[in-house]
Amino acid sequence: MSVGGLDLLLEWVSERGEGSWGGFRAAYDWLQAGQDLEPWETASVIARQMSALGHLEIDWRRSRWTASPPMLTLLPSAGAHALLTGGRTRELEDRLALAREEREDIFCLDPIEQALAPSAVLIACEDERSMRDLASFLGIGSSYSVAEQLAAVLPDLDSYLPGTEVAAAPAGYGVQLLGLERLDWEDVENEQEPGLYRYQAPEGRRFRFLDEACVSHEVDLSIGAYAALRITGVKGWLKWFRRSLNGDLEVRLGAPLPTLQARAAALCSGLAPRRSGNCLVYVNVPEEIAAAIATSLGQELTLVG
Amino acid sequence: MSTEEIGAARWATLLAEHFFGGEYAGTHVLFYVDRPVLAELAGRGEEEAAASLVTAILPQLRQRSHRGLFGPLLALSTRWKIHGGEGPPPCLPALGLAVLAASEMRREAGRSGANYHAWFHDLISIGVPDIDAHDLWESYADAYPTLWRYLTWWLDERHVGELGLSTVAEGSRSKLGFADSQTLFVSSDRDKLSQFLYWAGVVPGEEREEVDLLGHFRIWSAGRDDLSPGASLMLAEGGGEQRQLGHLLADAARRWKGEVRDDEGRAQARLALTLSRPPRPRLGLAAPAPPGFPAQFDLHIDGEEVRLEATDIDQPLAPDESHWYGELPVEVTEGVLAAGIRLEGEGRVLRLAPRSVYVLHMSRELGCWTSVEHIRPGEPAWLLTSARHLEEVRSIFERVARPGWRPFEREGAVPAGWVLLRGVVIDRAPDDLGTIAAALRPRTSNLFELSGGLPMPRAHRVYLTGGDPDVILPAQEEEAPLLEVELDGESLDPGPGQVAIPLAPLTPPEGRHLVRVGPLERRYATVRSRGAVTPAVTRPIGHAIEAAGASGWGATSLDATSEPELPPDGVRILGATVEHGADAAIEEERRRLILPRGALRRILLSEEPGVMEVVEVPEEPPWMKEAGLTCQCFEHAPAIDAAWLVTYWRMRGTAVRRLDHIPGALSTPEADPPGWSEVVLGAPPEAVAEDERPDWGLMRERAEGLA
Repeated sequence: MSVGGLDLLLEWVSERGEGSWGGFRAAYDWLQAGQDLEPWETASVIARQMSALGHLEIDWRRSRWTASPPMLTLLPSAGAHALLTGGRTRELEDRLALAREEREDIFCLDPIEQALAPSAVLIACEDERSMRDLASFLGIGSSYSVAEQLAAVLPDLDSYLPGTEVAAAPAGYGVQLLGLERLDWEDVENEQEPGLYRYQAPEGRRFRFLDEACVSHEVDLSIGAYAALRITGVKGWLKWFRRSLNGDLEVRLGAPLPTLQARAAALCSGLAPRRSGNCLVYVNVPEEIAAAIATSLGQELTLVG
Repeated sequence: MSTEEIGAARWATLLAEHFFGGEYAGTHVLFYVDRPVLAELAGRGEEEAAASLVTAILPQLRQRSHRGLFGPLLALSTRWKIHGGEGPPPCLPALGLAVLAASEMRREAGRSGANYHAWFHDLISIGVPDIDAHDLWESYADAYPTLWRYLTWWLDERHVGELGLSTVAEGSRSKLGFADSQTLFVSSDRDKLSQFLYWAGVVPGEEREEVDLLGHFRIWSAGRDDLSPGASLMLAEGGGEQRQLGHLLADAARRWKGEVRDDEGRAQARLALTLSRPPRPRLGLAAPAPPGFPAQFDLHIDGEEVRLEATDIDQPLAPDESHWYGELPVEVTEGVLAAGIRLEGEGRVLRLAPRSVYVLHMSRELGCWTSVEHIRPGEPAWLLTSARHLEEVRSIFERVARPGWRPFEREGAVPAGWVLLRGVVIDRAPDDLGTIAAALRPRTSNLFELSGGLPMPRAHRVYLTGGDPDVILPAQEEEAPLLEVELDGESLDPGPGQVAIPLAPLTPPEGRHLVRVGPLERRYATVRSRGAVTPAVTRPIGHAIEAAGASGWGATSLDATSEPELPPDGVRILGATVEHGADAAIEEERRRLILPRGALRRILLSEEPGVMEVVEVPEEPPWMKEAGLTCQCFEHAPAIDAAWLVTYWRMRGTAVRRLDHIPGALSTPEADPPGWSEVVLGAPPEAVAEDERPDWGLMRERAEGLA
């Protein structure tokens, strides 16, 4: 989608405040109509990107979304740049434009355009007081590092599964099992062994995780994939590539990060993860945050470089 | 009925019982009298029945003075009204005679409406042979308008619409007058109404606005040449006829039970082409069982009698669902696809119209891909196209379809000469679709509507500025003239075959807007902002995370949930906001200083004499360069309890600023008293902001003490 399209989508989300998933999808489909998109560039993918960047929250079970409160947060080791995350109403944009004109202690950079997410708005602050004063001027909250705050409270993988138990899926649907060696899907007859299964149901794709006790759990792809990886002991899918400062966290598309882990990683740069082959790459992730993400998912972080 | 003469009172009763009654309560009724109706009521031949009606009203006329011919009838009717209007209006037979004249005139297209009086004269002459046409017309003009108003009074006021509401209108053509208003819409037009209501997607029992129905009826009928001249006249003229037609359409929509009739008055339904699921797709035909079709339907296929059964026909349905008989025992051959198929039985018709391109969407009711009239925007479809038109279809796809469509090639899946394509998604139609691929114009309905856009909450047709909706043009017959489209009075000039006109690229300003499409109009408004910095959320969505013993933290649900509670020992996360519970054991956030990268040196000083930290510039993050960012500053978590920052600049010299208290990471940092004193005493007074000089003075006193 065009960059302006996703910025407009974020403005709409923020001005509207909340809505149904169907409404979000209709808005996205309307905005992207006529654009030359890849088949996977769906409303769901964009919503997850916006959620990872802290712009909105989605209750998939109730098919609702809400815009998040706006927040100014410093990025880790990023030249003292503050990121404007959360909802971005036009009133907030107007105030930021005013601050940009009137205040000499901040420098608003041109928004960084992104292909699969709204533009990132970064503000260079002269000192730490400037950031807090700016947040106060805008009427929003501020934080020294949301990424660090999130990384400190990432839930353990085990805690996601209670309450997700369901009866076994009816036979007759096409069913596939996630192959953990290559993280690809293979056709199977039915649920036989522990792992993550994918069904083509009339209302869309559904995922079921069969645990070691042969109990079926209705999960999403990310939780299901890491739960399956853990019971089979397969590790090493999360890689951290050291850069001179911080590093790049590489995640396989077949096992994307759950919402909070993705948000902790994405808010290290304010940029949506970029696609590289069959991986997603989050940039500027400090080693300790990458390690916290891996630990929460029962994985060992593979350090590279 | 016997051959005895029917008197005026009896005719009045017969006519009233036929045209007005409890079953029409609240709806607009036409007093459409023609010879077949009279024959049916009188139980005799048409000529005889018409003559009987004339004979019946003769006693109510003043035959000795033709100028006052209708005077006695008017007086009788007035007395009837004054006494409360008990029973049917005594003037009803005379009014019926006037309508009969108008209906005769309509049937004979060659005789113009200006000669209505001649038709009326012909009829009245049956009973009053020597009447002068001029005298007749004067008397008619004196009495009939009042008589029509009495009928309206009787229906609308005396019976408050319980027997039906009047559609009597004066009309714009004075010669025809009130009688004509009852004859414009004839029974053949009424049969076609079911086709219009189906086209308009009316749900049985639905209330639709008259103006909207009328506008769409004009568009629907524009390309047709099979409406009666009267109906065409109604559409062409304004005033009473328009209102009357609007009433009729709204009533028809309200009373419609979903039955569609063809031009011969038979219930009809469209067969659907079906495609079973891959990997072994197979074509078939499914027969719907819409209203008007029985649970068991016997019909002939290739000379054999076949019984179709709809077992669930009594089950209630959602408005967008239909009952089905199931699959027809008919092989889908090349001939069936190319020429279509028509099956008849029990006075009903099932029909598959021939097409060059069939569009199939997933049907939840049938559990397979099922043919539809138009592709639906943004929804995956399969396409069955004749091989002759494959290249044309491909070229359309290259322009408008989302990537990912591909041919499905399996031997025997479709008849020879046809090609199956899967994964077709089209969002908007190009301007120049030919008639071959008309089904590829994405549509969800045939109606004019405002679609898409970025709607705002709690208001109808209010959008965010920049998110103006698209105008979806109503479907038109190929031959119909192009509709004029305007936004706020400015012409938008749609091209031939264009389905939608996006308004957002026109960047209409914030405010109210009016879109006109032919006779129809829609209003919408845009707002730039709701004026709040923070999004208005009534039921926030977020994550609740609670303490989970030694293992750390536990999620309370699989993902974000609506209105998560803040656990006392945990946190609640809404986007980038992390709220701590009262008992949450969480380390306080590591606070940072922002320090200048361009200074020669940066020294942090504690208020505790001797404690200081020299801060080196960290490496520039490489990803920032890649993102086009430059670093002027860097953030730093101090090792000491820093109270002051001293920076040394090449051009500006020394600068000192007070810091907010930030606890240091080291509990017992190394002390360097001489260095600390040197830094403090080395800073000139002008390096410190005026309001901070008293505090800095205390620092200097400590430094002097150390020195």
